[in-house]
Parts: sequence; C-alpha cells; structure tokens
Amino acid sequence: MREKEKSMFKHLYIVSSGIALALIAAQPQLHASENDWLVSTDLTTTYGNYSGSVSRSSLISSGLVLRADYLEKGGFALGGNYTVLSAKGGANNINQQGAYASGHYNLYFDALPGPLTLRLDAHAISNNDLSRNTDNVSVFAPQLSFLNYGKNFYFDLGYAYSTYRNNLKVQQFTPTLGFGFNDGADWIQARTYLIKPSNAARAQNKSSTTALDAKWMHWFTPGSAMMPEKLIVAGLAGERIYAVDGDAATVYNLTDVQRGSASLGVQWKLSADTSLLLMAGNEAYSNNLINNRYNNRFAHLNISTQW
Amino acid sequence: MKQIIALLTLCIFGMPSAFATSNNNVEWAQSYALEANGEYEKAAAVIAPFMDRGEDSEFALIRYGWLNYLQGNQNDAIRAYKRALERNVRSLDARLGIAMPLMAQQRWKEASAYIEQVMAYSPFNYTAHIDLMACEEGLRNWEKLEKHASDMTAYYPSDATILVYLARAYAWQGKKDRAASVYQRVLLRYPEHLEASRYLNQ
Repeated sequence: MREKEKSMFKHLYIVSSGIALALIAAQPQLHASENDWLVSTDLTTTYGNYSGSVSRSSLISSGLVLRADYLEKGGFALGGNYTVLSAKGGANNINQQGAYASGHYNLYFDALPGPLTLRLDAHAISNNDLSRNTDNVSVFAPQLSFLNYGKNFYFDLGYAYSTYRNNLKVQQFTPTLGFGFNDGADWIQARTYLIKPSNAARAQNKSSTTALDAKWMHWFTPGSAMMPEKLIVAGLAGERIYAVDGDAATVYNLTDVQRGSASLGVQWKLSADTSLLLMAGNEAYSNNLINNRYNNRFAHLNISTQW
Repeated sequence: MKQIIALLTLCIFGMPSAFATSNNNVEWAQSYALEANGEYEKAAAVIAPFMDRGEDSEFALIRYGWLNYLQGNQNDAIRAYKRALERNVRSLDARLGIAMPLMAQQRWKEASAYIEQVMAYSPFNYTAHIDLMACEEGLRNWEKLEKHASDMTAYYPSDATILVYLARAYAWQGKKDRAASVYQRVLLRYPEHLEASRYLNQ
C-alpha cells in the first residue's frame, strides 16, 4: 500500500475505532477484566465467475476482520482484504487492497425500549486501475440503529459518503427495517439503497439508483452435528451502483450497475466458538457504457471464531 | 440551679436533634408505606435527601436504586447502585442491585460481570446464581446454562426455579426427553407451574 493510502487508512482508523474506544474508556467500571472483551475474527473468501461479460473473467477476494466488543457498551473492528479482478481481452487485471475500520457505541435511554447504537465505518481502497476511476477510494459511513429489548424490531438509518478520483463523490442513504418472529428463530430485514452519484458521466449515466435488499434468516433448533445452525435467503431488486454494504463491510467500487441478486447461505456451528458460513448466488450486472449485461455466479466462505 | 440550666440547655439544643432523628424514622417509614402502595417515585423522593449525608447514605443509595428500578428508571438505578458500591466496595447488595437494571436493559454480559464478582465472594449465593442463569438464558448460551443449572440442582435440590432453567436449556438444544423429565420434576415441586404444564401437554 502506498504511503498516501497508509496515511489515509491510519486517519480513518483513528477516527472510527478511536471514538468507540474513547467512549468505552469514559465509562467507569470498578473491576474491568480481560473477560469483559469478546474478540472474534472473520476469515472470508469469495470467488465469482462472470458469465456473459465482454470484459470480466472472474473475481477472487480474501479478507480478515478482527472484532472486539466490550460487554454491551460498544466495540470496534479492523479488517483488510485483497481482491483480484481478472479481465478478458488482454486488459490488465485489477489487484486491489482494502482496509476497514469500524467503531460503535451503545446508548441506553429509559425512554426507549432498547439501545440506540452509533456506528462509524471507514474504508480506504487502492488498486492498479489504469484509468484511476476505481483507485484511491475512501468511504465514511455513519449509522444510527435501534434494536428493541425483545429483539423483534430493528431500525437503522445509514449514510455513506464515498470519494473517488476523477470527479466523483457518491452519497448513499440506507433506511433499514428488521423484524424477528417465531420466538427468535426467524428474522427478516429489508434495506433500501438510495444512491446519488455526483457525476452521472462517471456512474454509467446514472444520476441516482434505488434498490431493495431483503434477507430472511432462520435459526434451526440444534440437533445432529451436521444440522445447520442458520439458513440465509437473500435477494436484491432494483439498481445500485457504487454501493457500500455495512453488514458485509464491502464497497462495490469495482462493479458496474447491479441489477439484482439472489443468494442462499447455510451456516454450521463447528464448535462452541467457531462457525462456518457457505453462501452461493448470482448477481446481475449491466455495463451501460458498452451495453453489456452479464452475471456473476459467486461462492462465499466465512469462518468466524471467538477467541 | 445548675440542674435547671442543664434542663433548659437540653430543651433548647437537645430537642431539635431528637426530633430530627424521629423525623428520619418517619421519612423512612413513609417511604416503605409509599412503596407498598406502588408509589415508587414518591417513595424515592422521600429518602433522596439521605443519599448525600449521614451514616445511612449507602443504604439510601441502595434503596433509591431499587425504587428507580421499580419505576423503570434503569439508568438512575444503575447510577445509584454504583455510588453505593463506590462507598463500600465489598457490598454484595450493590452488585446484585446493579445487575437488576442491567438485566432489564438486557445488558447480560455487564450484569454477569457484577454477578460473578458476588460469586467470587460468596460462591453459592442463591440470588447470584439465579440471576446468572437468567443472563445465560438472555445470551442464549444453552450449553453453559445446562451445565450451570445441572450443577446447582445438587446444591438446591428442592428448588423449582433452577429446574425450570435446566429444562429450558434442554428444550432449546432439542433434548426434548430430558426437558420433559425435568419439567416433571418441576411439577412435583410446583404443581400449578404453567410453563411445565404447557410443555408436557404440547
């Protein structure tokens, strides 16, 4: 990573995780111990194969995120990922590295039947894109969320401000609703992506996009060792470009206009501290500049471990 | 003459002090009466002046925390219990007190931290173990709850509440036969227990 990106990431890291740590440290605790911190890691790998694209062949991405939560007060996360987008037709592959920092803090008000969570994410991305259009991307994404004590109602209002080279800024609003039912065994969530690029010429002639991302998660009653712990069915309708996905800690800086997706995921609990998630699905894209519609069939693996 | 002067001195300076002590008792009694009537806010207001003065300030803080917990003012309750704990760091009452509003806010890990401090002083404290089981249930840590409740039934074999937690831990893990067996034991101790009856009749 170049010095400039290193410096930028350092700044982003200090802003987001520093806020969370400062707020946590400000809370007096008579007997804090190392057991009060819950540390976990997520190791992820994604492989995607493009079908029908005239310029893209495949995508492979690997990443690691370290999360640390202090009791129910707040926490922070730090991560990094490396992505290779293989091109067709003799074009250069894109090799990309991304850094991620996130901090959150929970506020408890007696007037509210659940905590409010303040969260700030930051991303810094650099790659070898010769056009520089997807290189040197930075994202700030604050979010205000609420989850009731019964854990059957969730609301968040997310915002993301992305800065790209060559005269492009992107604003994103993501109001989200979630509902739990069946005694906590099921969860449905819908997130609207309202994205407004500042320069349509740099966003495949899109001055704004709207998409709805919905997911259903079901937790199974524990049974045999092979029994999955969780099932995830997800889909996206509408269009979005340059999206920032807070749940997946992902910035879609390399993609064209996404026109929908469908995916299925299954998670197993390998031990008391380790879970394995396998997801597979299809994403539909459109490159409006060359009128090329194509698909990305992907598989995703995530190993989550609590330490 | 000296006796008359002493008597007058007592009347002038001693009586207000005696009245003050008597008034304190009246206020505490008034607070209990208001609590019994469900007037928790008034009950707390009556003893609030004692939180910052006198040898009963620690007790006043604990009671103020309790009365705020009853009103649903969980943040005020936590603050009052923490002040009580700062005045007496050995207080198990304050630790168990803090756990209640934290549990009401479903801050299970924070509540567990205080409860485990109580258990470090008093390993078989019944209230602490019951509260910790509630936290383990809140965190949906069924394996830990099963082991914890199973261990505690040996120390409190006649207790129905511990058995209910054990039955829930079995049920959530899909161990239906074991859950049914434990709910039967609950009914022996508490024949009208609704949760046990419903599980066995489903």
